[in-house]
Amino acid sequence: MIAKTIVVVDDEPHIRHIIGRKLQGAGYDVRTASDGEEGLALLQTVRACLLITDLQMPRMGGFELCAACREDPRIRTLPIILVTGSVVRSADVRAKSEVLGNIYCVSKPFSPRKLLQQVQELVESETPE
Amino acid sequence: MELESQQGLTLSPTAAQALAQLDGALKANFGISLALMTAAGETLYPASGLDTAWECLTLRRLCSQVAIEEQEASVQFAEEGMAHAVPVSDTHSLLGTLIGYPANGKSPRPAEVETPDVLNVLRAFAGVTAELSAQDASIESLAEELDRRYEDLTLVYELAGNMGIASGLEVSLENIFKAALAHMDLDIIIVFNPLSMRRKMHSLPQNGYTPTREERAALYKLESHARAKVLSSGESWCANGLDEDPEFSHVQDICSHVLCVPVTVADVGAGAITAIRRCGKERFFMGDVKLISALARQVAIVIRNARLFSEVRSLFLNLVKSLISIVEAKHKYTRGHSERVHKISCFLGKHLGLRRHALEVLHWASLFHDVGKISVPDAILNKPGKLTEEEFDSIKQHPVVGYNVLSHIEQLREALPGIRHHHEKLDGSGYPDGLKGDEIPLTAKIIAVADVYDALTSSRSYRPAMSVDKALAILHEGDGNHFDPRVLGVFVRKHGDIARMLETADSAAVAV
Repeated sequence: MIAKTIVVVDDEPHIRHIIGRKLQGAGYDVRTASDGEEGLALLQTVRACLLITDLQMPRMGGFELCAACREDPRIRTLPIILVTGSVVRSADVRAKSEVLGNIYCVSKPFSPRKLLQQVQELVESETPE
Repeated sequence: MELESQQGLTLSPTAAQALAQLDGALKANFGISLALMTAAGETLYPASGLDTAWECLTLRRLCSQVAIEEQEASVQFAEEGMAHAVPVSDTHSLLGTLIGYPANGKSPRPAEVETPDVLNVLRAFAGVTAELSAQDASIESLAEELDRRYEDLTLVYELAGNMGIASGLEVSLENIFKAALAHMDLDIIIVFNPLSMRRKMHSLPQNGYTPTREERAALYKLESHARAKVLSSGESWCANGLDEDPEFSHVQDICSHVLCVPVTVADVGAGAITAIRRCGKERFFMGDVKLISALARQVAIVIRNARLFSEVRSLFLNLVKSLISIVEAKHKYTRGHSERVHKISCFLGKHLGLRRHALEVLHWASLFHDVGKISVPDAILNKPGKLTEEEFDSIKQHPVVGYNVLSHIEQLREALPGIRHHHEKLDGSGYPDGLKGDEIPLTAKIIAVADVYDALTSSRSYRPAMSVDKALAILHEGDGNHFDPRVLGVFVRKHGDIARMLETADSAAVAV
């Protein structure tokens, strides 16, 4: 079976590493990018089943990336896990995410174990097109 | 990226790329191919493996020679020339072997290249490979540590969220242990609470293990053993691999690793937290000991806070009762009225299914409902005959006075509506605000029933006490216009229990 591809976008290398390591260990193919622009370009070249992105990043942030995904017919319904910093107003984030749809918020500091569980739930429940 | 093992030779993508570049250059210029093998003889490079079984066999033999002699070795490689091997090692041990061997049909012939030159290149790159591999291992170990730190950090965050006392000691502890069970991959936590001097076993069904009765008994026995050690030494105690220790044969099938740490609560005493992992799970490391010790300190604070909170609460409650008895002393007929209304209200609240917080609000509102009577002149309160309209107006002020007096106490803010509105009637004919139906808070509706019942069944300056039956009949007349039918329904159904509860309270008071 071909491994499912997950795109991880975060400007901090250690976060990319920690998420990548956990997901690879569970058998996923992980591609990483360090900001929204790079992430969007990556999403257009690979067939990802999930996007995990940080909220605050240079150049293109998490929300802009989510919005850009929703503009692109190929990834309009792609499930997204949005990792938010602890200082961000969570109500605000939740309201914005609801508008874009299919976005799940995780706040920092997150547990890699729980994140993996959530990924598995999202990816495995997804029905093939 | 699959990693061999933590100490073995690893080839990260970056290192593999560097090796491929060097291989290409050597092949083109000197007709030499490179191979990298682990100490166990597995081929790490080229990733696709060697071309022929013969190549494989020859090079593997060369590897073993390097491993045994721990030095460079060379061998004739068919008719093409020599294959040379150098060890790749860190400061402690041999990690693998780097080999340069004649590439097929390449020109110039490797024979034309001097052996010392080949060995020099191989040695230099063996050093680089060992260095890169060590870096990989250190990055991997850092990543593993970081992963663990992230888990620890989220646990600490969750624990911090459970420090509040509003939810009660038991609930706080339950949440703390649930979080620890999930985060630390524990199967069982047994806590000996120094405040209650009792033990409690916690497990998470979603972790896949719920102990049977016999297993619980065995685990409790293990806990006693661990706690005795910890309390006598004052230090944590950890035993890994119990399943192989004959001393612990009674728990061999159910538990493998145990960690026990003391919980020292200032002014209370010492308890212990015992964490257990079952067979097949990872043993306890130093990080686990630190984390459980941090958890124990947190638990100690939660327990101490709960104790302080209950002391302050009981001081407050006694002060309140003194205050109420001052108010009631003004009025010879109402002694014990507030206390009884309080008891009846709390009883009704429980049977109406009120939640913990709502019951707490009702608790205070019912105790304080008549505190405003402090402003009503004694002459009016104790007047034997019918009251004039002015006199009655003065009495009607008491809910508002109570509300105003207590509004300065922040902690009683939520109890204020119950105090202000306990004389409102469902049809809007009550006082002070003439609220109707659902405008009247439930707390006030409950106190209203309790208040009228107690007033009817107590003697007053203007009439003797009524029988319970007569009081019930009068309450019934107010069903739906004065009283809330749901509250009254519960009261009527349970009035036998209520009468008994009040009687036992009375006789207890006499006994004191």
